[in-house]
Amino acid sequence: MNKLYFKYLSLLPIYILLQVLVLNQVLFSEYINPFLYILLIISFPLKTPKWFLLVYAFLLGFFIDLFSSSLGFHSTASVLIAFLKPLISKITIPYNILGEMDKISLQKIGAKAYITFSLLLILIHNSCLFALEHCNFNFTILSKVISSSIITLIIILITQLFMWQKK
Amino acid sequence: MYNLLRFIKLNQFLLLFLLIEGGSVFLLLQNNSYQANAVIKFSTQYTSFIHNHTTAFSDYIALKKTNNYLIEENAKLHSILKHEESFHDSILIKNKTFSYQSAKIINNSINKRNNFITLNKGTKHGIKEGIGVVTHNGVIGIIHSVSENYSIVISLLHRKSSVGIKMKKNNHNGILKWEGFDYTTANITNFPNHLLINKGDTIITNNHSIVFPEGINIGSIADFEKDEEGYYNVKVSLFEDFNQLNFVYVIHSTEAAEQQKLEMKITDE
Repeated sequence: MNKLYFKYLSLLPIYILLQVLVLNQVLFSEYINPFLYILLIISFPLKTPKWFLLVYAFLLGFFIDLFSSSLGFHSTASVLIAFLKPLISKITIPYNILGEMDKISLQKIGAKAYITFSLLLILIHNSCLFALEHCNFNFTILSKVISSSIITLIIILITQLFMWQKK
Repeated sequence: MYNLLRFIKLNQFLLLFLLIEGGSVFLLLQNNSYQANAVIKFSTQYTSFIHNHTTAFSDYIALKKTNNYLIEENAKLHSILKHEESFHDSILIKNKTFSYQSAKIINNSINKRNNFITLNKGTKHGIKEGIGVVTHNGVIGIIHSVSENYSIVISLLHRKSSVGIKMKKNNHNGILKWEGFDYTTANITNFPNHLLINKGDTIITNNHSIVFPEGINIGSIADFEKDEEGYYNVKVSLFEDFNQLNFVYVIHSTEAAEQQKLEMKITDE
C-alpha cells in the first residue's frame, strides 16, 4: 500500500506539469481543452483507501488551479469524480476481472468497459468544471463539454496504449 | 456520544468528501469575484423576498419618523428650487446630467467591517451596476449587483468604498474612507497639513466623480491631528445616520458613459 502512495505521489508533478505546460497551452479550438490528469484518478486500483483518493484528487486539482491562477475550479471537479469513482466502477467494470491492487487499465478490463468507465468520469468532470467556470449551463457549454470529453478520452486511450505491457 | 462516533465512522467517506468539496467551493468563491457575484445575485432574489415582508412591519412603526424626514426634505428641495431659479440663465450652474430615482431600503447592516444594503428596485426599474446611491444628507454607496427586482449596494461603510470629497470653503479635494467600527464617522487621510482646517468645516462631494453629482453634503470635521508624513488625519462625522436609513435616491448619470469612454482613451495609451 505504501508503495502505491509513493508511486502516485511521484506521478503527481509529472502529470501536473504535462497538463499546465503542454495541454493547457495548446489551444486546439476554443471548445476543446483536454484534461489528461483525470487519467491519474481513473487508474487508481479498486481497493485504494477512499480518503487517499479524495485528498489526492484535491491536491491534483489544487495545483492545476494554482497554475491557472484561479483557485477552486479543478479541485472541485476532481474531488467530485474521486467521490463518484467507486460507485461508477461498481456499475461499469465487470465483476472479478481485476485483482484488488491492479491499476485500472485498458489492457486489463477491455476496451468496452474502459471506455464507458472513463467517459462517464470525464463527462462528469468536464460538466462540473465548465458549469462552474461559466456559472451557467446551456447548449454552447454542453457542446464544449462533449467535444472536450471526446478529445480527453482519445488522449487517455493513446496514453494507455503506450503503457501496454507485453506478456 | 457513542452513536455520533459510529455515525461518523460509517459515513467517513461522505463526510470527508463534503469537507474537501466544501473547501474547494470556498476557495472558488473567495478568489473568483464573478462566481461569488453570481451566487449573490441568485440568492438575493430569495433573501430579499423575505426582507421585503419583514420591512412592511417595521415601516408601519417608522411612519412618524418618515413623515418628519419627508417634511424636512421638502423644505430643503423648496429652497434649492428657489436657488436654481435665480441662476436660471446661467448654463454653467445648471446640472442636468443627473436624474434621481427613489428606492426603499429593505435590508441594511452597520456593524460589520464590510456592510451591504439591499434595495427594492432592480433591473426592471432600470437600475444598473456601478451607479450611485445618496440621500439628501449624504452619500450611501454604489450599486454592486442587481437582480430583477432587487439590488445590493456597497455601503459607504465598506472596506473598499472611497468617495471623492472636497472642503466646502476652499475646494480642497480629498478621499473619504471608512475605517471600521463607528458608523457615524469616516476618515480623510490625504489632506496635506499646510491647509487651514477647523472643527465643524463641511465636507461635500467633489466634481471628479462620474457616479455622484457635485456638492452633496457628507459630514463635518469632528476632529483632526497631524501625522508624521505631512498629512492630517481627519475624522468626519457623517450627517447621515446609517442606522436609520429608510428611503434613498439612486442617481442615474446620463453622461457617465460618455465621460468614461473619453477617459478610457487615456488609460489605453
